[in-house]
Amino acid sequence: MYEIVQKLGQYWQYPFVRYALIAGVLIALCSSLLGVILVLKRFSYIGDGLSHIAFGAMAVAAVMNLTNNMPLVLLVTILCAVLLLRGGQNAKIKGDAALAMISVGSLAIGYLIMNLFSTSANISGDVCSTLFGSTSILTLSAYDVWACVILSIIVVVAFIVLYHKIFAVTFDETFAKATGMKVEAYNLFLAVLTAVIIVLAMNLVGSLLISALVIFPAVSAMRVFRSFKAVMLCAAVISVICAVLGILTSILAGTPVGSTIVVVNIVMLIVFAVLGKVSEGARA
Amino acid sequence: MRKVIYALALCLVAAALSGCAGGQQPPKTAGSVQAILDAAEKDTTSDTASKPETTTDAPASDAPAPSSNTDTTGDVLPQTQPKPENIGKTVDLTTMSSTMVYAEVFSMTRFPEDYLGKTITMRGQFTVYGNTKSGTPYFAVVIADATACCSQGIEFVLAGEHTYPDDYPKEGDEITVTGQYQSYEESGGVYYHLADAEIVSE
Repeated sequence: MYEIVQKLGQYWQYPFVRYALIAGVLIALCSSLLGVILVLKRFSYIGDGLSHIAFGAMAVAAVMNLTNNMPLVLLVTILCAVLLLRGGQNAKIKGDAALAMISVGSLAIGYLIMNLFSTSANISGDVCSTLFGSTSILTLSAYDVWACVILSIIVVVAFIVLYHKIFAVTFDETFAKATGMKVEAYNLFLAVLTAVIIVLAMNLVGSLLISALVIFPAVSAMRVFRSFKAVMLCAAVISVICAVLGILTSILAGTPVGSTIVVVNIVMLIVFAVLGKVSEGARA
Repeated sequence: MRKVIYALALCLVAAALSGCAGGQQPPKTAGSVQAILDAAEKDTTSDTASKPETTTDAPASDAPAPSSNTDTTGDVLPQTQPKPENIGKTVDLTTMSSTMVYAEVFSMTRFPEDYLGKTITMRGQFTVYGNTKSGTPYFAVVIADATACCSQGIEFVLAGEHTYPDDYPKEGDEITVTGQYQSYEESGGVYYHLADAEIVSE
């Protein structure tokens, strides 16, 4: 144990470790808050779909040799998020079918473009790194971390300020609309927020594992708590703990960061499922 | 409603400003062995291909043209002075986990100025690259990330006179190298490597 603490102390000297922990915690916090809403609105798989779309956009940006692919990736992902979350209800191809089509289509087109036009000789490396996150979280600059800090503050403040509205839109859109709320505007806001968080969270776990960051903390919290506020708070705490544990484990044991965080989330879900059963038994 | 719009606008501005691009790739800088390996891979298909500006797969046109089996020490032209506080400092990558090693080597290729003058010890796979038919071989120690899909590495130049392949390990062998991190200029580009290096163990 002393050796582990000593090792962590040694690693803490490296700026990229501090950056990874700060960005990891903030991304986990934001994605868990959003995750509760997405799970309750039955949009759990949207994270996966949007991350595949982002992957396709990244492939296009790479082929175009864009030095900063962020604006393009973000724009495409936001457009698709709005299309799926808002337009989906009136479209001819609805819900999960539309999501699956766009998701798989983007992944396939992205990979195809990378293979056909990529200037890099290491296509498998580029693809693998984007899909599984690799060590991207350990390669952030101070600028990246500040961007995460600003974004996280915006997300948390937005959730606090708009808590009651988000609650209403999440549980009963029709009732919210009847009370005069601009439901469409809130849905648009949630769609944009989802896209932004997904694109940022790709750094942490990669595009294939991103759903875990959104779904697991929310579902774990729902095993034990029943109220919206309690679930949100618990999901945030679980997500942050899992991110920290995952990052620390991966730097100590030399495992891939993304998959380690997801495995910690799975373990946490099992623990909370058992806790939920125990508390149900106690109540009965 | 106004609050929502404001929050939305702020969110977009922050995200657009963010450099947190997913799947961030190691920069294709001169010091990045990934970039060099990419170019070397292209070399195998075309030895006459022109040298990309940021890679070291061909010798400088104005530099002495050593034969393919000689050491490259003579080509080293230190350009940047190491920071005084870096001299004598050591970075031992052999005591770190593979994830940390990858991140640290990435940092070395991204912010090389921070490491100039430091003595680096690292363990990885011995790799030879460059235009093997017509020019100078370059030697590097390469490490892979935890998912084994990306690799980063550092070029090294052994101290003293050495002949390739006699005085070098077999390609792909695991070696531990120690040397001082320095920069040099070639073909108009600045590159980084471990100078006066020594293969500690194979």
